[in-house]
Amino acid sequence: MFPTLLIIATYLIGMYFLVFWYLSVLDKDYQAPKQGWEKINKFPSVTVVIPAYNEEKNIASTMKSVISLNYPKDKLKVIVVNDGSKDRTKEKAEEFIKAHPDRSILLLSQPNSGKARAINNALSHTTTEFFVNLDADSEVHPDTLKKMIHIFQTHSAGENLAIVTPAMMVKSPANLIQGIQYVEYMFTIFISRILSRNNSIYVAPGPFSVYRTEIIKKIGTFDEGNLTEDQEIAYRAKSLGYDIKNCADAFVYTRSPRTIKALFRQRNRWYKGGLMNAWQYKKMLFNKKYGHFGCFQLPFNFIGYGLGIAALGFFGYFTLKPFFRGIKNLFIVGFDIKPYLRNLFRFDFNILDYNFMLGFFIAFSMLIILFFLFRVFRDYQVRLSRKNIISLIPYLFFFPVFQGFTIAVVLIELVFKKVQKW
Amino acid sequence: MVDKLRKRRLTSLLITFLLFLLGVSLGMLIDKERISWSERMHADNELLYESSNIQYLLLSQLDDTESECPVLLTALEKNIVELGENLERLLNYEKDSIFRNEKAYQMQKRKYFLSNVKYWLLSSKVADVCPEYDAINILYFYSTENCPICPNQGVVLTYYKNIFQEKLLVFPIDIDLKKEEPVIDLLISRFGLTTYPTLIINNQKYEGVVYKEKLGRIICAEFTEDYPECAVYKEG
Repeated sequence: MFPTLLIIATYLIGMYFLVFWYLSVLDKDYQAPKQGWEKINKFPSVTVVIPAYNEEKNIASTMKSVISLNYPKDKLKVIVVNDGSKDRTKEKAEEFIKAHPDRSILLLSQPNSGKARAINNALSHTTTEFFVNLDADSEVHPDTLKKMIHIFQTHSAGENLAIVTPAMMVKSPANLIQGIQYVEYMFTIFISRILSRNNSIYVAPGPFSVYRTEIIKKIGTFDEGNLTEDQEIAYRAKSLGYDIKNCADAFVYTRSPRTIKALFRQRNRWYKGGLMNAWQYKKMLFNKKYGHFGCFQLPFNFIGYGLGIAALGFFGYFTLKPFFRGIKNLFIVGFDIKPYLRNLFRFDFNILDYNFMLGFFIAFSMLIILFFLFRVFRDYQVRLSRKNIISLIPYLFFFPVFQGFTIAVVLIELVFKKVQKW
Repeated sequence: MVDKLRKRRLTSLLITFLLFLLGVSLGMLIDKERISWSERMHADNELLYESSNIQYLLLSQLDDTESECPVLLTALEKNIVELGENLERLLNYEKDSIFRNEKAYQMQKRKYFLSNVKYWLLSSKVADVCPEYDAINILYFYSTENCPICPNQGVVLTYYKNIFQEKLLVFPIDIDLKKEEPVIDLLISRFGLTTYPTLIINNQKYEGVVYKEKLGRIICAEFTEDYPECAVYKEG
């Protein structure tokens, strides 16, 4: 009975959020990429902060993508913070600076003390109206900054708009692990548009979120002890009544983990940090003062962990349990499979054998997710290549299990108070 | 904006509830169809039983059964196998169904149980009339609710069912039905059952799980003919 109740509860909850997002998309106000950014004529000063730790391979291309931004040179400053790298990151950055004497680039060095301290270090040298954090493993499209500044200048939130987030994409996915993340990031772009429309953005991703400097300095800079400081700052801004918006076509290309191990490590940090931050700001939970964010998004941020665990549970129940039962049965008959092979190709089809109710729920959820993906691929004119389709299947059926597994590990580690470092 | 979102949240809740109801209704509809299917299959099987029974009655009036027995045996074995498969499917449907009609499933299980007993009796009687009848009848008493090791016996029986096909006829009896079916009490007292699983093979009782090697030896010892599948057990 318990698995049955769990299945029903999970589908009800999961379906509720999917239906809500679906209705949000149908809304005529659903935010399409904002037009008119090409015509902006006021260019506020911006500092791009690049914290770097052991990024000798990527730092030059990241810096190059920044100085290639379609933005007036005199309004754009760059601060690279070498966070105690053990490789040649510092030398590579110095070489780049030497090769571009016409650009305002400052190189700071600090003993290795984490990304948040590196950003705060740069922030103390920042005097521009806006600042951007760009992870050293990411690159930015030349028009991205202009598009994001345009949001700051035109959005109805005005001076209250503290952060604008980009549309992150995976840079050149080379294997299945990165392919899955490519589909995931596309899905996230889509969801971010909905969250932006509903005032519910809860994270300012490391790759190229733009901040209003004055507000960030006022609310107290980045939390150096936090695993996901880019999320904590977003929660803090929301809790203090500031707005966060997403710029749906401000593209940033990030290098995603190539191996399961690296991906697990990254997600472990994200989910652990996410849970700790949600818990830290639990006062907003179901608090009408925080509107839709407190009544819908924050509960979802908690429930999402439950859904992940449920995905893991279903995987165990529907695949591992029958698998191990099969192994046990084979053990009972001394692993003699010959008698079973006799009936292997016996045609005994009966349509009633299918579990239609469960199939209906799964098919409905999958259809909504596929609709979202189709829509985002169409909106961004990304070709649905064979590679993308191949990645789609594990993304839909196996990635939730991986997420569930990571969440389970995170919960166990939190119980035993093991906190990962950046 | 706030009102719009609140309205959307409520609409989502309503749609989710309606979708859930739709899914549940679909499940219940399919369940109803499964029960109807089971009833149809059982009715067909009942007819086949009547046919086999009449054949048996006719045969028992004859002196020379040599030419008629094979026809009856083929039909009988086929019907019993089919009955077993339909019962297995019914039990899978029951396990699969979340919002099931317990009463309807219980009723079907009782019908299949009675058919199993009927076929078992008939099969035992046919063995007396047809000397070439070389199938082993196994009455398999198990409990779904109170016997966690019973599935192990099921695995071993399925294994031999796959090997000997229609030469091995298994009649499963779910003793959990004894509240509704007094026949089960009769069988329990006739065979003096105290524990489950229990196998009755040609009136011989085997309590507890009879595992592969032992069951293989028992089955092969009961056959009149020498089958190649039994070579390994007879050597042992």
